[in-house]
Amino acid sequence: MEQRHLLHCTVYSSAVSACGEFLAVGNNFGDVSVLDFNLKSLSSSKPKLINCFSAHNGPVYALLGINNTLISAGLGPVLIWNWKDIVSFDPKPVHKLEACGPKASITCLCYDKKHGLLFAGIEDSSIMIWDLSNLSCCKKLTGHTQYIHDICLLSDSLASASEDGLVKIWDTHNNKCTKTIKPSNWNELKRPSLGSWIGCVASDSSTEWIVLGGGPAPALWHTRSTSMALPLNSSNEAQSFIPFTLHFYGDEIVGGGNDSMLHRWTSNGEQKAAVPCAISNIFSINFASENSLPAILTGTGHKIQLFTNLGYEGPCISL
Amino acid sequence: MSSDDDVIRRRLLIDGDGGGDERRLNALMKLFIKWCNSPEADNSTHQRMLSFLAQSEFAMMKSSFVYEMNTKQMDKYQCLQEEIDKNVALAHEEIEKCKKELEEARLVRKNRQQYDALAGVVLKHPDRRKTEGQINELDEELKDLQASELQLIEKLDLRKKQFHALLTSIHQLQSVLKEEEEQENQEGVVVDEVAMETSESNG
Repeated sequence: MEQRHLLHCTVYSSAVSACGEFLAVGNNFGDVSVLDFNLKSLSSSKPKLINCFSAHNGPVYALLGINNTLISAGLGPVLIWNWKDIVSFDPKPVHKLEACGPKASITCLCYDKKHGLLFAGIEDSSIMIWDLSNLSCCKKLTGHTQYIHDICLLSDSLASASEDGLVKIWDTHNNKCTKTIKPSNWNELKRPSLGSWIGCVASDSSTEWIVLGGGPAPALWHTRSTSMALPLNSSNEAQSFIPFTLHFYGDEIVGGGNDSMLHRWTSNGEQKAAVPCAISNIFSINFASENSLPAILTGTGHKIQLFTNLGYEGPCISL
Repeated sequence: MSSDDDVIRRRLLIDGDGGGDERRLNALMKLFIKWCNSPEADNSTHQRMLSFLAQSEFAMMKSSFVYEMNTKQMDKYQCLQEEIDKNVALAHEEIEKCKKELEEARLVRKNRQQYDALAGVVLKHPDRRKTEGQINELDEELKDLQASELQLIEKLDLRKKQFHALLTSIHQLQSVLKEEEEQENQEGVVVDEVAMETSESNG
């Protein structure tokens, strides 16, 4: 990439191929860069940039690696690429899924392996569902009033976090909204100076617990009773910590946000560690394969940071 | 020439002590020859020869002891190495076991923490006994109210029936009075008619 581009680059999303060999990252210019990412030789050699191609006309907000395909979403239709194609030059997408009008872009993607459904949250406050087996659009979930920041799959349901401050839990069978959570109503969480928007939602493997973060302070919630269990504590001066991405990893909760640190919390909300890293605002945290290190952090800037151990920083790769 | 090199090489390799032994043996040989050639019995030479012999034997015994010591040391080191290898293997197994235990412990800890979190949520709700007590109270109140409702309905019915009875008797009285009035009117008409007839017949 040109030097000028590097200075203004923001990496919004990342995805690892199923075989674990390649890492794809999407940035704000609409390009997807593919890196050669051999897990075993991480200590000896840094991953190298193999290919960089233009995917969308707008920023690539979401990437998802499924089987041997890569799904990229941003402005315009959702594109499905083969990993084999994108490691060579000038690939063409295998499929295109029409989403919505030309103005709105897709902000987040989620895949249900069991039913082969792809969920996408869109800026126009709706959620589209595609059936990937026949590449057709199933349904559209409407209910939010402002754009959707993040979606997360629960057992038989989908949680969506939106700018309007609501987290809605939808039943994926009859496509109705079953529960609504408004974290800014809780006194312990609300931070009026930051607003009521919810930026990220994640659930643990048993889907009994979800974490929500955004304007209100990040907290652990119990899904079935939609009651707030515990706020995720941060250090004292971090009353302004806004997580942009949260994940459950092993027995802890991992999150990155606007204070250039990777935060780790135990399953009952106590802060375990805050590891400083090289990225000032972390927009996405990805793990190599479901639950194994290294963790890949991307955000503002053209650097991607790998964490081979969640306790300390790892190598930085520059696009 | 190569044989010279070989000899030199052999000499340098084999000669452990260097000049000492070689010199002694040569001196011994010279003494022996001198002793054989000397006409009279030469005790000092004899003694010297014996001492040379003893020294050489001593050197030989020393080197054989050193050799034995070295072999024994080697054996010991071999044993030590085997033991260490065994311990390393054991330690590996221990590490594997501990890793598994760690995983289990992590899972247990995660479950405990989630349990704590859930307990926190549960505690925020009021006590079950209290709510059950409240429910029972409300139930009783409801039953009381229902019973009083039934009573009031019965009373209402009774009053309605009483009013009905009252009204029917009023109506009956009214009709009786009317009949009597009519009867009286009729009798008056008949009397008038009779009076008129009589007056007509009289007049």
